[in-house]
Amino acid sequence: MIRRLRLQNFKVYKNQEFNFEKGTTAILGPNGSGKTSILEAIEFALFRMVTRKEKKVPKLEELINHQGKRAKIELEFVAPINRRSYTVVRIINPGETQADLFLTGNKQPETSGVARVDDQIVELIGMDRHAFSALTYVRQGEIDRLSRLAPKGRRTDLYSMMGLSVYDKESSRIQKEIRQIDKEIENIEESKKRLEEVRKHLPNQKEIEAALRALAELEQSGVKIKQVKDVIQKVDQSLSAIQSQLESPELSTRPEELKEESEITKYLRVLLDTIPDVAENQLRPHIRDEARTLFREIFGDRYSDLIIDDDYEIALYDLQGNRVSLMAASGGEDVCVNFSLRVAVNTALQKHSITGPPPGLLVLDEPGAGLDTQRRRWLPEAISRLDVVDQVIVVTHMEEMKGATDHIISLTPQGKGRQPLVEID
Amino acid sequence: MVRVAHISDSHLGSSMFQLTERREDARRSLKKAVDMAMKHSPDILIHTGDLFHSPLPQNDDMIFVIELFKSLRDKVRLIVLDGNHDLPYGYRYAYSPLRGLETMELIVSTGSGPYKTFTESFDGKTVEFHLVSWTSGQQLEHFLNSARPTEKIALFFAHDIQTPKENLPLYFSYFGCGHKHNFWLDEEYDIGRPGSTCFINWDREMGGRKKLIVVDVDTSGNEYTLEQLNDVREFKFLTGVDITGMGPEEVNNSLRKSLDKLSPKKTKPIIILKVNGLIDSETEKSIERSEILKYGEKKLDPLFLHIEPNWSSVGARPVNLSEPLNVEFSILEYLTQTKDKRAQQIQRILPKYFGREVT
Repeated sequence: MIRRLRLQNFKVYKNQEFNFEKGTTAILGPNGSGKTSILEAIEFALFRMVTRKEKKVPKLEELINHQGKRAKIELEFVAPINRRSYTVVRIINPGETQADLFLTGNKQPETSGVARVDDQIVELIGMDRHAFSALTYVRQGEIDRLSRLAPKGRRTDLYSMMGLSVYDKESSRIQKEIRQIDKEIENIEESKKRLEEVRKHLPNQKEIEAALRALAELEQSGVKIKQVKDVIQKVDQSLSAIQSQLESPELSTRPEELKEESEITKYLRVLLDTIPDVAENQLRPHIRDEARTLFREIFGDRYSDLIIDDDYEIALYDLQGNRVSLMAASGGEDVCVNFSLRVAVNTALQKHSITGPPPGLLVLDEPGAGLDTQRRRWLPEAISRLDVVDQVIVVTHMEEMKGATDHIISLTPQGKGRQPLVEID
Repeated sequence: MVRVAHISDSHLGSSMFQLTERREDARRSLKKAVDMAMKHSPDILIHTGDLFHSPLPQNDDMIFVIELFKSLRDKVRLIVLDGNHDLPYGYRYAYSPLRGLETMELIVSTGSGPYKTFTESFDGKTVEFHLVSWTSGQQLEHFLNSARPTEKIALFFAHDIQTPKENLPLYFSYFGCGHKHNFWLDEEYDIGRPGSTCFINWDREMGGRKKLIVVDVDTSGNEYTLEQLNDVREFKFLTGVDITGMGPEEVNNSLRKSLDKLSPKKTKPIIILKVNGLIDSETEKSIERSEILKYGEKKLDPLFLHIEPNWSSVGARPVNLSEPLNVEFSILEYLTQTKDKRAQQIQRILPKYFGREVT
């Protein structure tokens, strides 16, 4: 769904255009040659944000090439929602960004202005940045990590790969809110207590009335009592002020409301902790189906089935119908199982976690990271069989990938901060 | 009139389910296809690629090919293209096993590049050939559109043609391709694909057929003769088996019964049973896979019996989330589907926590 990317003064690129085709594309180059910058540019063009190692890049100025004043990113993509081609153009100036969204080919923008373009893109893609990255992105080392984990760890890991950790984030955010509400309740109770304390030390209403009656009698007998009267009246006023404060909604009904809110919010938190399990339960069979199809594409001449049971124990069935535990499988089979599993998470999510049409894009960032040579041998084959989605982008420094993909974008660093040499095949 | 016999995708060296017998089957199937073609006494025999399953064929396959092609010498103009399986690492034409066959002058191919064109006369009729081995889509388009044949009879052969038929240039008498393993012919646009000579990937091929295409090309138009090409081994596909909602016993019985219904004609067939449906995970665990395979093997004496598990298994699923990554939406769905008593209260406070930021 990504067609063309043009970068001007974006990081190491002074002026470069990349075309992306259907099928598999490898972005090939040694460390520091600008591979990840391409991915970052795509992310920025769509969501005006760049994440590195799961953290947001705080200052967008960092993305401007050191010799340039402003960076320009142009991305042409096909919106899954209506299959039409759009071009988003974003410019980064120090301190601010600009954005325009065009229907490709039109000179007049569909939408202009950063916020409006952001909203429009989320609508066109059918999901926000978080869901998009969970659906399309396989990070470095994730395949290797899966194969080293015990079933329980595998579960938590897959759980976060499915993007369900967003519930944990929301849950802890709401936990903070709950604490704030509770604190507020406490403060109100505190001031209520203090007012009541003060009231205790003052005479009560009846005593004041009695005092005032006594004064009236004295007044009739001709005694000058103006000053005493004033004092007593002041005391009377403060008493009613305290009374009205205590009866004000701020102190009388508000705490009740807050207590109710705190309780509901606590319940909301329970929901946030329950739903990801439901979601996970719901997605697992789909993930298994997808992983099985993928695995069989590659090892179908030896195995018939791949099973993930409720405890995330993985087992294979060979063609004779015998159960083979993953421990007994060879290194290549093992990596293939985990590759299938990892990619299946994305394809299952694309099919079963959004109501709109799937983005049809899959990005694999260094899929060979952490694998030894013997295990890496299987990757090119596994990747070349990936026809589950329309477009696969593999970012790698492994030369072995050359034969495995339909298209190659090869980057050669030129040193001294110069733009890398780009060959497109 | 010039007669062209068109075959493709013999994949010598492929062995379905790693069965060594299938390597021999692939060779015999190719021999069978060539023999059938030669019975029509063609002027040209074209093989549109993937002669070998791997760019490093084993000696037995290589020797077989050399002998087979030697027997065709001086009888027919034999053309073989490089397919994606013949080429190592993408497009390294110089390292394809076909280069050896070309050097021995057993075949005509595209040499160490993707494209070749030449003319040759058959009984006084001059034929112009345009050959394209496996290459990128863009390059194929380039060759297709830049070729300007001068002869009246011009043939275009490529391992794969993805161009929509309406967009093909008009001045070629016949477009021949391979790559996909099922037969396809469009007599209006004169584009043909015979399919593979044997079964390579049963999953994709079981719905289709394979045919020998014989084309009599003349300036007045083409005449097509087709002949069914069968794998030398018998294949039985059983696809309609559904085990939805069955318990363990029922599943085991129903699979055995499906096997009972089969009656293969040849000895040692390959039998494939594709099982669909939705069962719970308990049932799945109790399927006697290996016993059922043994039962079928005893009864049918196949070369290979394969049961393809295509069923899905699910646990209890009271709640169904349509967008599990959308937190707010999922909470609402959960509340509705579980008929939660506090649904209204939660709904009231949701906007406070999840309301879309107004920018």
